[in-house]
Amino acid sequence: MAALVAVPDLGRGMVGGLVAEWYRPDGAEVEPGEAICRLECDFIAVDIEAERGGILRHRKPAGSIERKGAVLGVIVARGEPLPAEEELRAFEPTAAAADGAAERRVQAGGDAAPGGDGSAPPAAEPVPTVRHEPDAPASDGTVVPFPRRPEAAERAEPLPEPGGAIPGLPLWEEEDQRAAADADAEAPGPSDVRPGAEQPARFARIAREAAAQAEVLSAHVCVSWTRAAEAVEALADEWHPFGPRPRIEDLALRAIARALAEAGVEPGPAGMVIVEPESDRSFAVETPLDEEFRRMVQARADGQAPFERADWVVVSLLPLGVERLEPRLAGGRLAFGLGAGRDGSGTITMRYDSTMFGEGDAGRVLARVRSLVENPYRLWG
Amino acid sequence: MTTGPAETGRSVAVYHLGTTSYGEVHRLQQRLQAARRAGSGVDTLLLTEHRPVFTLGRSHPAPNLRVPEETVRQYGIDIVPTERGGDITYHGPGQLVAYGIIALRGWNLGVTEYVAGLEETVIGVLADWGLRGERSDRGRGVWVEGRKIASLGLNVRGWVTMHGIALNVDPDLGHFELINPCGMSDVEMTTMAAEVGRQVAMDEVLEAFVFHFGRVFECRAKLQPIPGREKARPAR
Repeated sequence: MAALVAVPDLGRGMVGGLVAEWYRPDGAEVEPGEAICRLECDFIAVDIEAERGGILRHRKPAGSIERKGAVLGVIVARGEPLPAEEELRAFEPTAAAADGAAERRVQAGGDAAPGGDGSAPPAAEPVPTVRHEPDAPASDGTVVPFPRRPEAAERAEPLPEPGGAIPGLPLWEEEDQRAAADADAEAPGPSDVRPGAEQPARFARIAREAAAQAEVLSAHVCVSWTRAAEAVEALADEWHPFGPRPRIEDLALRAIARALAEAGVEPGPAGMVIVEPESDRSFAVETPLDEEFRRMVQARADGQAPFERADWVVVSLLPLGVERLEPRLAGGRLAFGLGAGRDGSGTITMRYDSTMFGEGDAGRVLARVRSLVENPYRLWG
Repeated sequence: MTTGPAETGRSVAVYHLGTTSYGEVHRLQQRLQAARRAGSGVDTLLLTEHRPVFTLGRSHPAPNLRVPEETVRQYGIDIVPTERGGDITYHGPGQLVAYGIIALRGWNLGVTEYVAGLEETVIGVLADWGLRGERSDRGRGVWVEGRKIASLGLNVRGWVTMHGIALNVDPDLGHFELINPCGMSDVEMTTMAAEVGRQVAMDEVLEAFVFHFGRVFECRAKLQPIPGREKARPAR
């Protein structure tokens, strides 16, 4: 029985790869488990191992770009003939699909393979056609010439090369590109027009002063995000109309700002980073959400400090469901991390330098933040 | 995210190797990968900083340099061929290198998901410092405002990975100037320190990396002491 050397399925979004190198030449005898071929796909090099020992016959030359599931070669026992080309092609889901209906009709007429529809994964294909060659002419030692490669015209169309910069690379994420194209077509996208989109580097870069030598401490408090979410929902319409529709993070940020102000700390401008699962990105937004907070920020700006700088940062992993995170001080003297558990509860963690608060003060500030987050009407009361 | 380490049953042994030469860690990786392929060993994450070295991917045996090769030799920097994918890159002090020797079958992960996870891990680390890391269609790795901050290269054999991702925390960017990183002549490299605008402690980045690795892959990532070596730093 012949063993196939095929392009492995490397996972979601993988289309195919480049046959970078045959480690063993055509007709060589290989050991089971030996690396025989290297397939490259962007920055990944995959060594394909021989499933069994035997004579290795190449089917695709090094340098060709092949789809996932394509049969690159076969390993046959000495004297065993090569499986017929049509049978090999039946194992190649995408190539069969791309070859068009005519090809498929030939195939169906030939051996009436039930899995000939081409879309089934190779593993689900019926194997026996290749595995058993009962009347194999046992001409020992002879190397049977491989069936000729189809001419360029009859071959499956070449793989799409997204970007087309380097031939064959990268062969990633057809869907992603389609999604990106859709997103481009839809609108410039709210994240692009958001005024603070280029903030994070800015507020991180400016963070030069202080804090470096002070001791960094952290404190945290548990909150119920369920209650916060309900409150945000109820208050959404009354919320001051500039900025995007408020979310829990906005409420938390505002509560923190208020609590800090009450504690006599001049918090200054804030930055917020929200890590979102779909985009895998963090956004930074300037977050003056209401008049009062804006005035506070503006007052700071009217002094010496430039408006752009963020003195403190709120990092939110709420969309990821991370229960607790301790953000690093990004140069400012304060950083807050928002985390959420599965049951709607979560924590607010504060990292601060010891020159700002005593420990008791930090606890009091956080307790106040919690009370404001869970009962946000107090922010207006 | 509805599952956690308890549900997935994944765990990874994390070793902080300190500053190392490329060769020794490379051999260690090869040994670990061979063991893992043979079904023994555990999934491992190696974290280290290398002494200055240029490494080449298998497909690009000729170094993609911007200066003559003798100049590089004069700097005392070796050029080492490896079995990973990708083109030439630089490793040096101030760069956190993470090598995962992971049996992907056991984690029920595809290679692409693993690569995406590594990138997400770095994006998470960057977020901790208030930086917005993102993917780019210019290539794999993680970018900050169009500048490359983390590079990636992988080798997979028998569904066991090797090599990994390198995050520029505060390396000497001058060394990158000697090469065309990843074979791209127009790529601008950056570092966390440059983006944040102040010193970034490697230990904290390392800690954050382990945390985010555990978060992204939903695995129990535990820092192991190195046998025969003092623990580099006290627990916080």
